[in-house]
Amino acid sequence: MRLSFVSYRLVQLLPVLFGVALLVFLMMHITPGDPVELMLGQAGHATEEEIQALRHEYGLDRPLHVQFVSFMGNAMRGDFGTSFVHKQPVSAVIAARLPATVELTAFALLLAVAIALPLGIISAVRQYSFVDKAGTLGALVGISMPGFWLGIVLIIIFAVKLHWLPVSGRVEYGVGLDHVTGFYILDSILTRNGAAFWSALRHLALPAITLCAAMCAVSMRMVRSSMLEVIRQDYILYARAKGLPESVVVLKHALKNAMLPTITILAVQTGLLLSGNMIIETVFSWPGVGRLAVGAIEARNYPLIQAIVLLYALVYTGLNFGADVLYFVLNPRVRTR
Amino acid sequence: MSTVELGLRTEAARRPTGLREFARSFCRNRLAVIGAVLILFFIGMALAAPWIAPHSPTETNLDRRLQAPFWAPGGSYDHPLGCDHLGRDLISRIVYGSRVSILIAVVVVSLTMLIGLVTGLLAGYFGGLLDAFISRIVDVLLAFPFLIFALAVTAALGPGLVNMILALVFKGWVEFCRVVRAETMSAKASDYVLAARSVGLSNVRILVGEILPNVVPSLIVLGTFNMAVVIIAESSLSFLGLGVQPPTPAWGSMVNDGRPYMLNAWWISTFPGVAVAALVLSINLMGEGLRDALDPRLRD
Amino acid sequence: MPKRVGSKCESDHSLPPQSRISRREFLSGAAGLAALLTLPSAASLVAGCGRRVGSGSGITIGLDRPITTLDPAMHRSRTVQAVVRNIFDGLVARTNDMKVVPELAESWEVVDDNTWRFIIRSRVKFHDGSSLSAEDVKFSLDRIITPAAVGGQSSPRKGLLGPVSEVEATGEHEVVIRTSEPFPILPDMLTFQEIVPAAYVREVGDQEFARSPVGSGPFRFVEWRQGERIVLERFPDYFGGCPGIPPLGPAHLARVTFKPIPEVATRIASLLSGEADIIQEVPSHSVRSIEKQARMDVAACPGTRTHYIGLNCTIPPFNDIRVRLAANHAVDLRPICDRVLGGYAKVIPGPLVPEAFSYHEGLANYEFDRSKAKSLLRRAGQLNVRVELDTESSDKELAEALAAQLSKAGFDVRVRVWKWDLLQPLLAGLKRCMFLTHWGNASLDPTDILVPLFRTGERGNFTGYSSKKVDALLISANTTFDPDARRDRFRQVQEILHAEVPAIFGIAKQEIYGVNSRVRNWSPRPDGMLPMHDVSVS
Repeated sequence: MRLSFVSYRLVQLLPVLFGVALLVFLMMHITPGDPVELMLGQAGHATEEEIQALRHEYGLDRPLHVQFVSFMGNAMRGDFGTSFVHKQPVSAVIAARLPATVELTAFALLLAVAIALPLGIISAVRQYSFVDKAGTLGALVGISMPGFWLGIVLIIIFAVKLHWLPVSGRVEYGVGLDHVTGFYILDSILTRNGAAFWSALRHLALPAITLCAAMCAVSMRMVRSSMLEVIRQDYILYARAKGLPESVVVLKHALKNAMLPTITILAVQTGLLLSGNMIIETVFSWPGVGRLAVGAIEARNYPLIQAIVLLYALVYTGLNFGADVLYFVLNPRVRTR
Repeated sequence: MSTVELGLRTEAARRPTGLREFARSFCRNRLAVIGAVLILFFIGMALAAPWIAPHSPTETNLDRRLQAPFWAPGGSYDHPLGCDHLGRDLISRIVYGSRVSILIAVVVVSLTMLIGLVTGLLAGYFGGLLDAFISRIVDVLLAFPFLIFALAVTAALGPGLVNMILALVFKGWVEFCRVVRAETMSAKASDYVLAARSVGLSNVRILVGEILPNVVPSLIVLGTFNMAVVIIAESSLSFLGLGVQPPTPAWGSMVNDGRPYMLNAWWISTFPGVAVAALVLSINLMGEGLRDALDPRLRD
Repeated sequence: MPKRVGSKCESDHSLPPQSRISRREFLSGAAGLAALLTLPSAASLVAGCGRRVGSGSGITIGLDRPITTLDPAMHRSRTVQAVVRNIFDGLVARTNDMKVVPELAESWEVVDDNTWRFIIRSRVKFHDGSSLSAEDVKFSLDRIITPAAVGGQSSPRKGLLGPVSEVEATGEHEVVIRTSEPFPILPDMLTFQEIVPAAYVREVGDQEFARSPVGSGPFRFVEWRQGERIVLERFPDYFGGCPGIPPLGPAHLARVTFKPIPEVATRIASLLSGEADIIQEVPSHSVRSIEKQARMDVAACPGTRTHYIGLNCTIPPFNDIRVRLAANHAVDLRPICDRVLGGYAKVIPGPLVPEAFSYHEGLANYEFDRSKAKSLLRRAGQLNVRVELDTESSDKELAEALAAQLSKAGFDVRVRVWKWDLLQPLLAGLKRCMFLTHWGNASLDPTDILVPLFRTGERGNFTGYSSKKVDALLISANTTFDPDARRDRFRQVQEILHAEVPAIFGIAKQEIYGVNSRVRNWSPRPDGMLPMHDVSVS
């Protein structure tokens, strides 16, 4: 029965991904704008034959349904075509920038959890106390500011005025970081390169803080409300009645059960965070997929934007799926469907 | 659709909160009250804009370009918060901007709530093919990254206030639909709904009479938080070049307009940014208070 | 060398006295050596001697656009060319004054109307040690003009080489280029192309070449972290460089780093924090915050891009020439250049910038006269006509200022802000009546702007302007090799355009760069190139 549930959920992923692929394809192709004209730019001279030849090379002179079938057929074999702007295979273009986005998101997530978890627990255990209110206020301030504004302010304060942190980039030149996985923090640990580790960390700091500001509030709220729910359960009462110290009750019993919905919501949030990445990456000139996406839409770089949207959708649905399975596996009460 | 929502509501829905209990519980939360008061302040500002604003928000004057706030060199009491890159008075633009920002938030959230409510009720109550169809659409739209969706919609329809609202609504309703659906499904399984059905009440009466009151509290809480999200989204969209058209003042667009001037004329972005933060914060505070007061499980 | 122009910067106070003198020294010395340097042996003599090469010295440049590829044939971006021009050389190059001078080509001659012979310099090495020969020149040009020659894709730079039809290597160091019709500006257009090593490209393939290039330029490729930075290091066996651009020899700098930072505030922040030594595209309103810093300054030069307000001649109200004239009288560009653009712009009476070939000094902008504008409108029955002025988001302020002026002179103008990718198809479909836009002319030859903008049916002709006379003049101007005849024909075109007013001309914005005072011997160029060969740091 467990297997059938998992496979049922897995099967549900396919129509979703197909729907996303169809939606992005239609949206992009129906939107006015000619990729060739946009690539040639507002300068110089080009003949009509040249423009038509380029359009033919991009496959744009075929009827829409033919283009879509060809795109889906190739996509299923892992071939997402060639980027109109980079003139390189789309998968290579994305692969070069994906580690940057993943590293930034992971770091922001880590920071958010590190802040939200203790705050959320304390807020729940001491509901309506000062810490609760201050924590709520602080976390909510984080989510109330436009991300790009916060980012630029942080750059001005910490990079320009104080010179504590760098403005842009992922790692300093000259620390000699070897490429292993593309995740610089990991690579510097694997190659035992201390200078590179600190450099990568310093470069991650500002973008990650800006990104995590929004996540903190949601995570804290989630931890708090699920802790509140769990604390009122009977088995907590029972643990207290047994005479266990409060910290053990909270940390061992309550937290364990509150983590479950928290993790699932975090998974969803991470998926949504990929969308928010676009703005932070642009502000910090972070070499990730988000920044790539903005440019790809403006240039009507169909192959690239289709691949990026599918990637985001895959990650989002994958994370959701993983969260569901986790929840299902760890919480035997929920087996209704 | 995710089992998470289902799991969070495994217990049968309880009797919805009564109005007096709600009011008492809400007022006990001081932060929430502060939030509510601030919101009223902003609404008042929006309504009284023509009388409060010292200047016209749209009149340009290149002589006053990038004028600093009154305490900085070059500033004057005439324009206390300074002027923007076209010499327009910042305070007046902020005051009038409250109208646009609040309007966008209210319109978008009302529409998304309505659509989400209807689709969620239908999907959750009737199940079957209708549910499967709506759920797939919801899943696809949820998986689609928001900013790219908004960029593409606005690219198809053109820039402007109405199209931005449309983009926000197209993507926003799915959030509500999902929650309403989960709530409906759990309410459907509750004792008194079963009882109502066994007695032979019509579907419509059950939906409106029994299920709706259970769904509404979550909806209101979600709607409140969504308003905050929409206001921030407005500035995100203007960052990508899709916002209101000039010279209409809207806080999010104003923060974005000041972006290239952050190093030499920081006030153009900062004051509207503070306004956004204040409004969003107060909405969030009130929303927290609402949720605490309305959710039966969280009552002391 | 172009002086720093602009009312804000009167004196060259960014660089301390020593470097100014040393630059003048070099110039006078180079003038004397110029005659000798036409001989390749003399050039290599000079290349090795007397050049202090600073070890470990590096420079970082903040770019305003992302770098998409390092293959010189597979892009259409000025920023990409600025970077690759340090890795590769071209047959010809431009000095800072935009004069065309030989680089990898020693000399060339016009054999007949459709044939050119280029003598290629010998003893030039690529970064992998191989020697450059005519074969490499033929290979490089072939892959641009031949369809699908680069891994199945065509080069988007083909149009820049116009009617070039065949390239033949007629000797170890001699190349013959044939065109399908006379192409008098071939040398000017060859400045946009670079020479790549045939053997290396064939060996590693086009994809790998784009990621890890090998060229013959003063710097060789070290690393490209995509989206983040490109690092180049000095190539010690460099042939010395273009004799027309002294000093010669290997580069001073040990290392050059290019960082794409498209976000304006972040780019300026990187200059202010010392992370970048030179930054591109500084907006005029930020000049003061950079100049306030002790170690930083601003350098400007005339640009090659024309900003203008196009008026659609095919639909009302601007299909009536009186309304177009009224619009020209309604606008006073001088205060706009001073106030909105901080004085970093010049008013021009036509589509050509003053540095362009055949710029017509005799033409002047229509005088600013509101009452004349209103009376013209009244006579045309269009007083207070409602129009929308379209613009891209980058020119929002300019548009608002212009709209305010127009609205005071009998028009009712509303600004509509678009992203270019949405506006372009509308303009191409001749659907919008009034739009503030721009067109670049990096070659400074009128062909590249007059043809796309005003020849019938061309890709940049958003005004719908069509004149058989102008079409004929533009074609005939490019079939003759006589520069005087060309100049005369282009001047006639400008006069006709001035009379028929398909647009309100025009603004030539300056290119403003931010520079750290440690940078020596660098000045900005109108074509946007960033040659680092002669640059040093203190």
